[in-house]
Amino acid sequence: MQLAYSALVRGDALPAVVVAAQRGDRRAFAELYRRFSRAVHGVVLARVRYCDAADLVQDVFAVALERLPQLGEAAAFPGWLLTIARNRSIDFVRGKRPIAMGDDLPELPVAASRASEVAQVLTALRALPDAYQETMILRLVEGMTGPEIAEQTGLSPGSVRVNLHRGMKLLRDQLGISEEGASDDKASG
Amino acid sequence: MTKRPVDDYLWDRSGEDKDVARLEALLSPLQHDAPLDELRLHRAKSRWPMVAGAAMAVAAMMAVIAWWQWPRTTHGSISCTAGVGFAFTAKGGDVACNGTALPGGVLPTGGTLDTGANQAELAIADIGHAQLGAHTIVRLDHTAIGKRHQLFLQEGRMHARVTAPPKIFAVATPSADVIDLGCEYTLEIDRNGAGSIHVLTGQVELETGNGAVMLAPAGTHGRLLPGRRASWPVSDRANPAFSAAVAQLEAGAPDGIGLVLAAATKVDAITIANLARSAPGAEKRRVLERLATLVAAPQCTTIDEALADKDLFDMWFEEVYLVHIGASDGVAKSCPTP
Repeated sequence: MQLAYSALVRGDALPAVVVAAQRGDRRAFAELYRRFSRAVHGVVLARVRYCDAADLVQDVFAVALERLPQLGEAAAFPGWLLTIARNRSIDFVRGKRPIAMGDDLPELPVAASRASEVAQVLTALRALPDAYQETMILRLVEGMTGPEIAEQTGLSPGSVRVNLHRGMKLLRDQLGISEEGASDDKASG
Repeated sequence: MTKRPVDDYLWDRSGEDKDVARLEALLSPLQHDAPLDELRLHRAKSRWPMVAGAAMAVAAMMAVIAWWQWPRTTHGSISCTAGVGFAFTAKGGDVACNGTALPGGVLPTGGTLDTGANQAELAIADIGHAQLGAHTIVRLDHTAIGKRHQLFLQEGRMHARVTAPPKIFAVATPSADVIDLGCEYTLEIDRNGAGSIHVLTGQVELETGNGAVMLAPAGTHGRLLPGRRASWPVSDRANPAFSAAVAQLEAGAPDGIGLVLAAATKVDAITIANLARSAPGAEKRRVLERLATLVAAPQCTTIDEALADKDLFDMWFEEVYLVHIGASDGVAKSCPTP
């Protein structure tokens, strides 16, 4: 039975995967990691240095595994997991000085010629209001589309869309990018 | 439907936005791709059976306590001190759960919480919270794993914030049902069953007795009318003349729709689009003709096409929503003459 389930887990609906993981199916838990680790990384990266983020992602999933039996509503898994991610990253930075722009530079996995610009954009993303910060990092860093962000955060598609458009507008302002680069198609008829 | 939705690269990579594409390419090396750390997981997993066992023991103990206390509660009702339900915490003094004054506890299915002169915070399962104001009465109608959680707000004030997939949480009131689509909103109901809603983030569906379903996004408010009569969400930026016209329509004034259409400006398109959803067949064309002057239908959709094809109408509604949130200007591009 377990083997049969595990063979299907990749394409299965989220509640079924969560329930299987709650019953101790390790492949189901690995599937949850596959589906949600980028979202957790994005949430964590909004608060901690890049070099600390990957380690904290593993920490979040270890905590999630411990607490999974206590989760009552399988469909609420995305919001529940990201709450753990937020709390762990807040705990992690508690008592530390705020992240400065240069803090990310030494560890960024990009060419030296681009590191400074990447650090600048990352700093601008972290400076966005809370409501837009995570959504924008999930979109621009983790490469998720709006519908994927909605599915993985539990936010409504409408909220994600609002966060993306308002967040992008603020980001353009902060980075001094004019709206001219945007396509006219946005309001096409 | 043959026409595709509005292009929006930021949303779903349709269309083109060079700035967004450049930022994506710049930041993509930071994307997370590390595998699951099995060793760390193993250390956590070794404590799993102990945690699960402890949780089961606590649940069993709570069930015993609930069974033991059940006959002692007032009104012969279910205990508010343990068991399945929504946990609550009183603020400023005790609140009455099933008639028993308590500083906190669990509101069981079928149970009623009355805040009296105090306030309370209510956990909506594990998907959100609600703040209940003074003189608020709520009843928990339904809560079950994997299904909809539903409260009934009889009267008072509730501020709810929910992080969950759409339609998991709903609040019934004497005047309308409020179905959460993932958002934050404030609901107020008076003793006559009339009230209001103000949507702060996300969006909600409002369902009234005649089956009309309105979509109220963030930045809108609306009246909830006794007798479950239809009402319409209005933009927070609407001018007083438009709000007055909507009130006349809701009150049943002669040609109320005409009054609303005449007073509408572009910020009121969200109301007009909802009106188009609920208007009877004969009136629908008239409402869409006015809507077209406020927000152009995307992809040169004609009114006849929108009337005949629900998907095309929904695409137009989506465009109105984008205009409402400032993500589109709603101006028509040149279209071929029919």
